[in-house]
Amino acid sequence: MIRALLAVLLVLPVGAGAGAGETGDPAAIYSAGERATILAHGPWPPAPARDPSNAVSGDPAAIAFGGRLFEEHRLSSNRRMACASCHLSHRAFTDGQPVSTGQGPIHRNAPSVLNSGLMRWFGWDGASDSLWAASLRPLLAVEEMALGLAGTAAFIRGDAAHAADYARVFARPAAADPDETVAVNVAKAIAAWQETQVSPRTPFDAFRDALASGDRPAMRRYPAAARRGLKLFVGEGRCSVCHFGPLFTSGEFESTGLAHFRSDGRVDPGRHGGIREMQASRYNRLGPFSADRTGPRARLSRQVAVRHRNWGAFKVPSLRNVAQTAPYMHDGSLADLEAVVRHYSELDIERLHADGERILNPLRLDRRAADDLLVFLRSLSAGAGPPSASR
Amino acid sequence: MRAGLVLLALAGLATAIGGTGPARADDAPLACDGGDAHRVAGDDGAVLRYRPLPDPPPINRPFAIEVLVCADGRPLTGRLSFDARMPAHGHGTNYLPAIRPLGAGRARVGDVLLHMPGHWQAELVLRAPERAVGFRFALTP
Repeated sequence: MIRALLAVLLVLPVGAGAGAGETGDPAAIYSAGERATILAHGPWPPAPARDPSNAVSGDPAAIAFGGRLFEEHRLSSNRRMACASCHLSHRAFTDGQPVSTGQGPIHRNAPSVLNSGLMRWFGWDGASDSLWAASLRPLLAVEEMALGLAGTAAFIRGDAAHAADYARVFARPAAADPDETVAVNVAKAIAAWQETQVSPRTPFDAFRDALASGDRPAMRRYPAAARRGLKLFVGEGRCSVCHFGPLFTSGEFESTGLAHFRSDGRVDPGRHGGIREMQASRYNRLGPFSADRTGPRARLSRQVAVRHRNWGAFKVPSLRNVAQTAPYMHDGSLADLEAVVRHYSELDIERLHADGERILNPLRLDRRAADDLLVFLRSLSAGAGPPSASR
Repeated sequence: MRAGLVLLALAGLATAIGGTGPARADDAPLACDGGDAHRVAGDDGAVLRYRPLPDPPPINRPFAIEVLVCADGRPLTGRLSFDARMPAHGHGTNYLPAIRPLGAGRARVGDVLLHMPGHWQAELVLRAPERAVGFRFALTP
């Protein structure tokens, strides 16, 4: 059933049953407000964004170097873990596991790196305020790649190809830089490459653009069930309150009624811990390795507030390519999209934090509404093709 | 001290919602005696003039608000605090505003970020040596 629906969306772009013989305005079901909200979820793709805190952001040589480093298994203490070990390109840069397997216990689901160059915070708790800081984190974390600053620097210096790349990108040999600088620069090159990984256009994007231009035949190619699901998403379901804009996320953090405890029995503080970790880090936008400590992004790092409501809140994930990123949620506790829709349909409000988002209420979807929402969510994925490079 | 808590303690809080008149980013400096900035009447004749930059404010991007509190037709100076909340959602912003005086009673409330679409209610309090005045006004990105 699920695969059949997916096939309708991904294999048949005209959407069998999407309104064959349908006449009239395919968008007539939407109010003016709903139309405006739908249009605000595009256009896609957006213009590439460079990171002013990373001096090699957008640099072609750094992008190429970073792409090679992303696949480099020797960037780990056991020489078996690359960034790509948990961020698999054929899974929209996730790993398909509830929580990733590292060199030690990991308690969170591997997030996609697609479109990460457009994000504000990184990691489920936003403990990194830049993509390069987020890329450095697994190199240092003992439960992940665990190579450390000195190990990373020694590896780059000792590998002729990487050492040559480093010297080309950063205009000085790695041997001339301190260990910490080399490791941060490695992370900046990896970030430069990740910034180029942008998800392709989707059936939703074609519908959104057709709605913008008033192209009714093009709108009819979008399945009627997806159109109904979209109405639910931006209307009664209020999903778009948090999942809005071209990225389908605010980029901020919410508590959504999931378990408060990790698999080891400890409470996951979520955003509350993430802010404190970012503030304490030498590798934030305000620190000595940032190339821009005063711009708008740096100011947000300075002005972000630690509040009680941050406890147990996790990043609102982008829904682009969502059909390819199961399992879901920060702890990977929801196995598939059906489970996600069921979670919000039957939401246990007793598990929401008392000072959390008040508009979260059980959706109480009937079978047809849930199916419509699923068809819409799957229309946010482009299929199994490779991601597009933005530059 | 959160501005919201300060507000709760204030008697005679101004509750005017919204304001009048569009504002442009290239407008002249705010003044007590007119212009096209938004205007909110407060208690005891106090008036807030404010101008989001840009107007209307964006969703989920930082912006600034220029503010000027007036009493008896003259700028009222003091300590400013600002907050914005979504009443229907039960939460405020995720970032602390950066308030900077601009001179002649004017101030710039920077780094305001409304991270969700919907109705936000801004709360501004000025505590002068002899009085405190509070204002509420709508911010709808």
